[in-house]
Amino acid sequence: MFANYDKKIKRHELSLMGGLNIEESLYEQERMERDGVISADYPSISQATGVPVALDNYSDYAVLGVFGRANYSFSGKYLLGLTGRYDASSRFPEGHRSGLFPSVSAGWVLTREKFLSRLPVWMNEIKLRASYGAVGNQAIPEYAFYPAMDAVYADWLVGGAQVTTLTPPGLVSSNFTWATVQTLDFGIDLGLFKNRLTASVDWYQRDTKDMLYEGVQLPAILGTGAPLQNVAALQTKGFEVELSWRDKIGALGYRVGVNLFDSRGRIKSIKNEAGLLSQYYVDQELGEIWGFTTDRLYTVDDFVEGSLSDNLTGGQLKEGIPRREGQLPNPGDILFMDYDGNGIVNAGNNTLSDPGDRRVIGNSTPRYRYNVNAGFNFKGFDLSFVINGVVKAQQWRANQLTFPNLYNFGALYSDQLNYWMPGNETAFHARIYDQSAGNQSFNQSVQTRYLQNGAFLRMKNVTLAYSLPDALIRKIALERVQTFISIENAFTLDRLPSGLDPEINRSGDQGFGYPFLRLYSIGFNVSF
Amino acid sequence: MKIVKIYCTLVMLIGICSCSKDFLNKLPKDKLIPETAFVDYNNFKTYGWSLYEQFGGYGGAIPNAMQSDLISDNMNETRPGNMSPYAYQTKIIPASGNNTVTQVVAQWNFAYIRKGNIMLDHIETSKLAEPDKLHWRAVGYFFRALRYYDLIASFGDVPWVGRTLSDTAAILFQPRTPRDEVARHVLDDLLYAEQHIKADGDGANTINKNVVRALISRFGLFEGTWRKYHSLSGAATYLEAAKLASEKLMASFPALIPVYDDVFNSEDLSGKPGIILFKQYAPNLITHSNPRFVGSTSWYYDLTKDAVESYLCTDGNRSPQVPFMQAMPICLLNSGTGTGDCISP
Repeated sequence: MFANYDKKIKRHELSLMGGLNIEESLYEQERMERDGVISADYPSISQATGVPVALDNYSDYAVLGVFGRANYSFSGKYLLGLTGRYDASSRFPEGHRSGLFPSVSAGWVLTREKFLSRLPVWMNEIKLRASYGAVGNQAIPEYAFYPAMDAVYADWLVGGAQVTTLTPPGLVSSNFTWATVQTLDFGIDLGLFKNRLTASVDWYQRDTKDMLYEGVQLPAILGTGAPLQNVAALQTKGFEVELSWRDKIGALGYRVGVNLFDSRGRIKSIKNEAGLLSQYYVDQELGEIWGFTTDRLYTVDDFVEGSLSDNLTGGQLKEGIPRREGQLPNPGDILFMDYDGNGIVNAGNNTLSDPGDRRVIGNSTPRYRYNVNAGFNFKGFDLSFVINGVVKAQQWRANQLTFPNLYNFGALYSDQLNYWMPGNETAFHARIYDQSAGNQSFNQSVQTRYLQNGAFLRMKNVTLAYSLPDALIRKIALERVQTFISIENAFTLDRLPSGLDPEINRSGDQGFGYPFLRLYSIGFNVSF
Repeated sequence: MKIVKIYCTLVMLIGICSCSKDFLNKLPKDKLIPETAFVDYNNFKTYGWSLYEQFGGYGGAIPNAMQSDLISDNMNETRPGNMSPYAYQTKIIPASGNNTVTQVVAQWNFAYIRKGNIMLDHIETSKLAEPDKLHWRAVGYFFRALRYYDLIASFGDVPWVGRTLSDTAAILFQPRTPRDEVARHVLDDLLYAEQHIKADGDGANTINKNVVRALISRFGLFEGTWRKYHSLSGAATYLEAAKLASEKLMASFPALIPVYDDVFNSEDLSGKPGIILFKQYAPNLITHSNPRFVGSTSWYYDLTKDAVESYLCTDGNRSPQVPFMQAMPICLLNSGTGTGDCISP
């Protein structure tokens, strides 16, 4: 429910808006199932033979809020906008339910200024923008402040049947509230060369504050996780550039649009006093990949002469050659960089102050993402395409397509045959073992050598169309006749092992998920 | 007109604000909270079943009975590369612990202790009758003692957590409680449990007086001998408790199960002589994989010659005094079918 009010006095324009927001959501799920339907043509619960199963699931939430907006403009040159929301949500405990989220924006259209009237004629529009806004985030599960107990089956049979029991309630805090997302944005909009070129550039900084996270670090004696509190903060900085150009050369018309964007996120505050690398820590960049640095493969010369068995195992390392903690390396295994020089390569305490021999070796966040769409038309022919891609990204992928003989039932593909063997000491892949046992797990640990390059360029769509000339089809009383050929996901250029897709990163030993379909279509459009 | 609008808006606002408190109060409909989960006897019984998880039964993919033998000279794993991390000095000390079940080395995890304490802390505020309160306290004490027995065996000194902790509890940052004190708590709790638990528990195959006595017997023997052989005080207290409990147990269970192998490889031990409490297995519900290990060449695991030779044979000899293959049928092959007269090691 909202109301508007507009007023115009000479060159002043004011518009006001105010409203109320009442939202209630109730999710209900009731499910009954029973296997062994007697007749597939007449399915019914009572005419089935299996064990009946009934389940239900409810969740509800409500939001109540007021909001308002005021826009002011002075002769279309100076623009000012104020908005505010005051919301209360049932997802937060009583007394902590409401939050105020204001935002302000300002714009200045330079090209309408008299003192800039001597600007070159090709500058059609220049507009500067700045805004600062806060948005509330209540995307947490419902009832998070109730210590809920779930019904589960116990690991115990009584008289041959499994008994139902309850999970212990977790520790909850009763004073958490909204997380806020504050965005500061500076932008410029351009329209140049008779608006053939339009461009907009934005730089922004987004601060997500008061995110819910374990509020304190507590010893294991507690017996459960620490309660969630509004303690974490994340800062994202990024930019976005959009360019588009549209023109005509004789009978050839063309248009090109490019859009490039990038952002980096950094943890600004979190409770992780020990600096554990297994959790988020302060000043961590999102997407960081911690791993070992690969030095080379062990060679026979790294072992004491005569200590190796006939099949080159069980040797004794020479003085000063490092090995992984818990590993008895053989020739062909990966030798990692021993940064701390203690002869043992490990993850130290797995903390920031003692990361052992691990370092940040990459970042999985896709950087400099872009989209290009372009089109050409010439005498009824129209060719257009859409490209998207990523300039820089690293990915750690451990699956059957990146490692030969990944596990004891794993495959060995033809493009993975360059693994270490006596006589192939310079192989790319390390030594593989019978049943993938032994040192293979060490050789497959996160490291620089097998870090994948996630950069790619994908031709999302190419379409070629031909429309019959208007003069011709009018005679047979038709509006438009067009034929076209189009290919979706025509091709992808990337550096990954064949079979993997840069945008589908699924865990699991196969490494691939449901792929993007390549779709060819040929069509014929007739409009009357 | 404008005035009417403003009035309307105001009326709406007031209306909404006055009902907003109830409007925003949403309670979970399909979950219980402690206030609703611990009221009557059946509530406690329901929650109590979750404490039985501490009985690991035969264990998971590798039976508990084999776990520790695999890293000793009694058994050997022949899978390539999976040699004993202790023998080859490749064992890495774990950084954190799981909530392991009994018979496996306990790790630094107190989730189970908290689970038991939550039940204990809600007994007083419940609507249980007075004798039932005693019974459930006894059950809670028993399970907590069961976990502490494992913790003491692994760590010696462990923090004694006698009630559910909040995130601000002082004990979180205090040093461990001395073993002496923890062991005394465990024994006291068990003796309380023996006295107050219902003689028949909550039906067949549940915690009852005899189960408590069995734990007193085990724990008392363990703690008593530890003290005796480390020349510590108090050994007699624990040994005496063990002896008393064992005597009562022996009176109640005069016969032992005739086929020793059944104890280690059965689905259902109900009604078998000498069985105090057992973990029942049933297809599709709770299963075990022990039959996989019955044959002498099963999976990757096998006994070593050393282990075979340490078995006692029916004629009273240790196997080194008889030819190797003669010892085998008696003690190993027949044990698989359960028909032989195998003798306990």
